[in-house]
Amino acid sequence: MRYLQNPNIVVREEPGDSWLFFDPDTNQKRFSNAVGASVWQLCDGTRDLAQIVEEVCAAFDGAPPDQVGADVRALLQSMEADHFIVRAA
Amino acid sequence: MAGSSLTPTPHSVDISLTGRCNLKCTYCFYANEMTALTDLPTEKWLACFEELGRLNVMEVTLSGGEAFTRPDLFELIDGVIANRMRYSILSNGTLITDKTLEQFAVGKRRQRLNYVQISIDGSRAEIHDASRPKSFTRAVRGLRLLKEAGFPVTVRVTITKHNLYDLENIAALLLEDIGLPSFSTNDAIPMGSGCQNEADVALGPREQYEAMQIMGRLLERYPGRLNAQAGPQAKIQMYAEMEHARRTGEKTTRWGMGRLTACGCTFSKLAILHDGTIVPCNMLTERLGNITTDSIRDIWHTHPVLVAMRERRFIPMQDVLGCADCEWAPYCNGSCPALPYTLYGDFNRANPHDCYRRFLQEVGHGVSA
Repeated sequence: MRYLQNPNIVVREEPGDSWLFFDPDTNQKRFSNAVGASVWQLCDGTRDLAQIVEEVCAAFDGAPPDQVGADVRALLQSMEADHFIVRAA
Repeated sequence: MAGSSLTPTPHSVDISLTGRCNLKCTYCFYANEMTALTDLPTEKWLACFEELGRLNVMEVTLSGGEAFTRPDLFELIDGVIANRMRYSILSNGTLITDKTLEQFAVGKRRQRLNYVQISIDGSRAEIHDASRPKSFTRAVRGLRLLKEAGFPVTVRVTITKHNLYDLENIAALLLEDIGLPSFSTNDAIPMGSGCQNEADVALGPREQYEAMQIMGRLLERYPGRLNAQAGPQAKIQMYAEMEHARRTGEKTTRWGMGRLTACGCTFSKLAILHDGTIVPCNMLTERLGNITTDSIRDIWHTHPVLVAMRERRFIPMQDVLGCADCEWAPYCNGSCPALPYTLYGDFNRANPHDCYRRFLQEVGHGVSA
C-alpha cells in the first residue's frame, strides 16, 4: 500500500519549527513537527509504510525502528482519515 | 524561523478589489483619497492570486468599495479557489439577489466560502440610512437571502451617534427576527469620510460609555452572541483588564501591557488596495509596493515599514510621545496604530480614540464605576 499526498493540501512552515497542513476544502488545519513533515514529503505515491519508516529512521539518526514504525503508522492513519493523504492507485 | 513569531509568508491577505461603491456611507474609511486610485483589471488580480498560492496563503478577505460591483467577481473567486485558498466577502449586502446565490452554486465557490459579512447599522430604514444612505431594505433583503439559503453570513454593526439608542432593537432584529447566531460591532472612527463627518457620527467619550453599558446589557441578554475586536464592547473589556491589572498587579497575558503591542496583524496578515498597492492593513495605508511590480515575499520579509511595525512591540509606552506621564502607561498597549498613523503620520503613537486617560478625564469615572 503506497501513500500519496492530497494535492489540495497547503503545507506551510511556521515559527517554532512546526509545519501547518491546511485543507482549503474543509478548512481543517493540523500542525506537525519535523518528523511529520518528513513523512508527508515521503508520501509521493512510490513508497509503502516500510519504506517510509526506513527513510525516517535514516533521516533521524538513532531513532528506534519499532517506535518509529508505530508512530508513522498512526500518523498515516490519522492523515488518511482526514484526507490529507490518499492511497496511491 | 526558530525564535521568531513571524510566519514565513502571510496566513491571510485582505484585498480591496475595487474602489467603486454603490453607497456613500458617512464614516467609510475607504473613501476620499482612495477614489482616485484605479481598479486593477481581472488578469492582474488572477496573477496576484497565483502569487499568493505560491506563497501558501490560506485565505483572502475580499472587499472594496463594494466587491459585488465588480462584474468579474466570481471569475476572481474562481482564481482564489484555483490557488488553494478560502475566501470571505465584506459587503453592504444591497447587490445580493437570487441570481447572486445561483452564482455561488458553481464549482467550489460555496465550499470555499468562509463567510459573507453584511453591514447593518439600524433596525429600521431611518436609522440605518442615516449613515448608509437609502440602503436598509436592500441590505436586509441580501442578508435574509443569504441566511435563508444557509450561507455562512454574519453582520457588522458600526456604532454611531445615529444608532446608539437603537442597538437593542438591532440585536433583536439580527438575533431574534433574522436568526443569526451572532454579530459583531465596532464604532465609527475619524478616517476617510469619517474625518469630515466625525462630529455627526463618531461617539464621544460619554457616548462611548453609554454604548458600553448598552453592550453590557445585550451581552447578558444574548451571552456569547456578540463579538468585537474594536469599539465599545472591546474597549470595556480592555479598560476593565487595565483597571484590574493596576489594582491587583496581575497583568493579563491577553496582550503585552506596557508596550506598543497592538496590533499583531503584521505578523500574519497583509493587505492590498484596489490599484494593487500593498499596505500593512487597509486602514493603515503606508505604501509598501505594488503587486504588479514587487515581490510580496520580499516585502513581507524586508520592507522597513513592516519591520518597524513589528518592532513596535518593544517600545515601552512611557517612551511613546504623549504617554510619558500617563499613570496608565504600564497597563496600556497603544491600541490600533491605524488612527495615529492617519492623524499624525506616525504609527508609533497611541490611538487617541481608545485612550483610557482621556476617557476618564471626559467621563469622570472608570468602567468599573
